[in-house]
Amino acid sequence: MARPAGTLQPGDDPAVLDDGALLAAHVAGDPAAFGELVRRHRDRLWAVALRTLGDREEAADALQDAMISALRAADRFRGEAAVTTWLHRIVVNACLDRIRRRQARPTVALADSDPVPTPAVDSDTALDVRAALARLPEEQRLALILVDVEGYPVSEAAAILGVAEGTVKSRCARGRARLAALLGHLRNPAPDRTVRSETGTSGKGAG
Amino acid sequence: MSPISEDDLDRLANYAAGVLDAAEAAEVERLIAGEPAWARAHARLSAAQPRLDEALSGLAGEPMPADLAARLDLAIAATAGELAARRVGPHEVGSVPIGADGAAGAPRVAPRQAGAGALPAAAAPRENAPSPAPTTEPRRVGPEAIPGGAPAPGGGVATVVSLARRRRWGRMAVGAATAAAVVAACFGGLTLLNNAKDPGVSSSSSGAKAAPAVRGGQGPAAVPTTATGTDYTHDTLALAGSTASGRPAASRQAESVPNLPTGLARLAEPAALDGCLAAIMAAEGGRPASVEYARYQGQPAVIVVLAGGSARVVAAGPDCGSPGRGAALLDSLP
Repeated sequence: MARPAGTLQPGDDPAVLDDGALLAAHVAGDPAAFGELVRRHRDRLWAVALRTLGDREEAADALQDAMISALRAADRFRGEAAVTTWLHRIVVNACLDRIRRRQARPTVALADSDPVPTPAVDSDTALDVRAALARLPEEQRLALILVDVEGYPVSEAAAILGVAEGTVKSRCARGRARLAALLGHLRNPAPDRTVRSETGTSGKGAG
Repeated sequence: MSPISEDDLDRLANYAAGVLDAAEAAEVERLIAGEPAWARAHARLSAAQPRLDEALSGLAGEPMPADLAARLDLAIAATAGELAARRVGPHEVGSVPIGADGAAGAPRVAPRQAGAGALPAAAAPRENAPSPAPTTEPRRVGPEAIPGGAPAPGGGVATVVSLARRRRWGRMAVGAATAAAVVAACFGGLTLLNNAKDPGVSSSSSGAKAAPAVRGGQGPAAVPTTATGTDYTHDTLALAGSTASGRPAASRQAESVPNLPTGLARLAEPAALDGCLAAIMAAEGGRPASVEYARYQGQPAVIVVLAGGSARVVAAGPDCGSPGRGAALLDSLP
């Protein structure tokens, strides 16, 4: 009986196979290979989904949708990107889908008359960093999560997000500035005005 | 103080990141040197960087909770099993035709009906998934931008089932995933059974290894058997029990040839399985309602659902029923 390429054999240890070999084994019909691949990267994928969506159940749903989609489309992966980059990209996309569905609900508009990026709360009660992160524009939030939270190199974050490295740098820088404002790091010592912006604008720059 | 605007803060941030061109950077430098508000904002933004680093890095390293990880594992196992079964193609089991998608004919095991109903998230055919409305977001990223990446309706990742529908199923998704895994494995088992009868068809096309049929004799091994390879944990073992008890009667009558996880070949023999089930009944009482060839915490295991025993589901190791080993129980749930 011919052995399908990449199929695990009895005694094979999936843990020693690299990601590409596991994906090939899955495409060749091994029913356990993709599960092993996901288990290997699950926590990092989860962290991206959780920080991006800010909701445990929604992040779990997004991650599951993304992994099922990847599982079904694995035969179309040709290796131009690393397997992990490909998986992350699908997760990011699933998260963006959910964010846009969320945004279909009414939100507070950005106040044209008060574009001051001062924090929404007094410095004494500055927003928790998670809440502040959730208020960033999504493209800035994703860049910050990948680079500053999860520690991916800018080049890999750029590959995951499908943008230039300079764009990632710009999004991170603008996101950090907005985050600093939300956390009260840029405000005057005296109480200041509050921001009425819920989502802000993407602003200028590369992204 | 006249704080700078959001747009100006973006300019300042881009300047600090070094992504402005020379002319723009020179203009920002001029503003920092000449405008007190810009100078203050620049100083405060620079001073905030260590605190931002600390705050952001403090968010890292949160592993996926075990219950959600188990749910994900089961959904993947269910879909992978379904795909492996589909790859085998259309065959017949005895005189019962089963189409490639399991929906044609009148199979004794109805994997599509059961699977589609039980697990909309993972088992619903992609081609039947509703296409999302076209997005107006031009910067959408996703697999469509990578050659060979995962495509999806509308150009992005497919949502296999709508969120609303998912919520309707709610917490049942985990159990349903297990059901789909079991049913998909039944389907795979049935097709493999046919492969064994047809020397012209290689069972390796599914990546599965043909195993001896567990025909179901007169003893305990007459219970329905499936092989999923699902890796259970203590938390998910309960799901195996609940889904097995909720399976359609038709599937209970099905014979199946397990796609055996490595290490369970001995227990595929009816006599050995009889011995194992007898040992389990001796330990826990009751009667076996179903047997699943799977894994428990990564190790080969048979998952046995019991009716009327002190345990309702047990996981037993490969030595189950061997002399001196008893039931070789790895776990049991009351």
